[in-house]
Amino acid sequence: MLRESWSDIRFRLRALFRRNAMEHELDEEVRFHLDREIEKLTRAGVPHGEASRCARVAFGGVERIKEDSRDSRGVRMLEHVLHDLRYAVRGIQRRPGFSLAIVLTLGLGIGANATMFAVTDRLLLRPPELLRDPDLVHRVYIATTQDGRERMQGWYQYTRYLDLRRLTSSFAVVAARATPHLAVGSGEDARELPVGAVSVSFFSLFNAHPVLGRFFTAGEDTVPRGAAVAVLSHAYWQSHYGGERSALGRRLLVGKSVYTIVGVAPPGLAGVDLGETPVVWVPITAYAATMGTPTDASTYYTTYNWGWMQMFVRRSSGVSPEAATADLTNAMQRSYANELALHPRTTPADSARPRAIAAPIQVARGPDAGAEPKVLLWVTGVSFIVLLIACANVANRGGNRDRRHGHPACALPARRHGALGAD
Amino acid sequence: MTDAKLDLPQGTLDLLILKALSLEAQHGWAISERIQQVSRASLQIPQGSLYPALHRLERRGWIAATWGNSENNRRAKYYSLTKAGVKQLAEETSAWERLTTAVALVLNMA
Repeated sequence: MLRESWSDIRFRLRALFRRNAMEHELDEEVRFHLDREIEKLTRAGVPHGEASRCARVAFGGVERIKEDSRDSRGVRMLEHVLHDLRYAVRGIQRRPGFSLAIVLTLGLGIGANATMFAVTDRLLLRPPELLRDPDLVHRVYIATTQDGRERMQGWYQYTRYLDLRRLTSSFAVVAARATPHLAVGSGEDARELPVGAVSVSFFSLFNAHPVLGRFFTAGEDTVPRGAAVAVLSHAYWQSHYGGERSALGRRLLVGKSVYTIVGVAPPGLAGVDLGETPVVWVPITAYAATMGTPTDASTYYTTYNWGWMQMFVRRSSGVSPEAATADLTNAMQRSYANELALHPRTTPADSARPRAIAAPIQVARGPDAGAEPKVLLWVTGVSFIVLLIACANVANRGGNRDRRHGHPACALPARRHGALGAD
Repeated sequence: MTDAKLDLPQGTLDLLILKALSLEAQHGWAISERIQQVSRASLQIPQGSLYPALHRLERRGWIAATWGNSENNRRAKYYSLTKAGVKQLAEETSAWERLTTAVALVLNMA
């Protein structure tokens, strides 16, 4: 077996590197055969011309058989690749400027497209990292109509969140989060950084477990005031605490309050906001009770004055997005009634027509996306057209060249597939 | 034997070539002649189809090729059986015999 494969490899190498010699041998072998056959026939009394014809008939198609013999060498594929490569190298050597122009044209076209696709992917397609069941997760918007125009709101009250959480039944997870920029750290080390003020349920949206310590608990995320505990992001833990276990229990000034570090989030947990990765996660109730105006800080969970946070949901299995939106809208109408009872000067429900929307997790695909996604799609379209133009240009130049110099590739298929009827 | 020529069953050409080479090294034309003579011209083999088969067998290492001088003093490519080729011939011969015996048994079934 080993000997067989060794002989096979040796034969193929020879076929590859001594191709001309092998071709020559094949020619000679076939010629020898035909001559011997003609000789035999002539000796038997057949006239020479006739003998030559008969010998070829008995042999079969000479070119086809040569072709079959080449196939049996087992290096056809490689031969074609090498041939194409040699052809390409010759082309580049002959006209380097032309080749450079083509490479640049195609490079720009492809580069622009790759870049645009990367941006499209980030903004419109890819869900946040570590998100569990991204297809089931929604960003919730609420909408009310004022002066005949519907206003889409991405930011609303904690009381609204409590209402919607209580009054809906379509969701496995209902979570709240705000991403304020706060001074993190004290003294010279303090920096204004994004902070994840989140409900305890927020972590359940992700496939994430703390790499050290724990996330905060339901008992630490309660009204009127959550516990002053904090979970560091993995990156902040590495850069400010050297990845030391001793970070647990240390105190960290976030905004106006001192928090105790109880855990470290896994790398990759970046929340739900593109380019706004929180450096530290704190209970949303701890943040609200310390950061609002004195009135807001004490009434944020009972009144509808302070709109500052956003809600995220994961549908229970079997609930369609439409059913989720209907459930949310129904809850929103009841919540609006609560608001009206508390704040009688609010626009009446008939004209406000409150509703809520279970929208895609990607802001750019949501109802409050602004102009970016449209611009993005336009630019992507333009860059695609640029690529098409680049291709057309290259093809056109290539075509012109072929017309002047003949089509060099034409020689190839004939060799590859054998000249038919050449015998 | 009838006068009609028989088409060669798939895969048997290799066996015939190995057999033809079992006595002595030969060039392509002689192999073709030998098969024709021994089979009393009843096997239908286009002479040319020998060559792809020869090259395949050479690649497998069952036959080896050397250039030598022919009877009429012309350069010709001679093929000879290798050790692996001898073994292969024995295996293929016995497989062929078992096959024909089995087919004959079935055909002669009462």
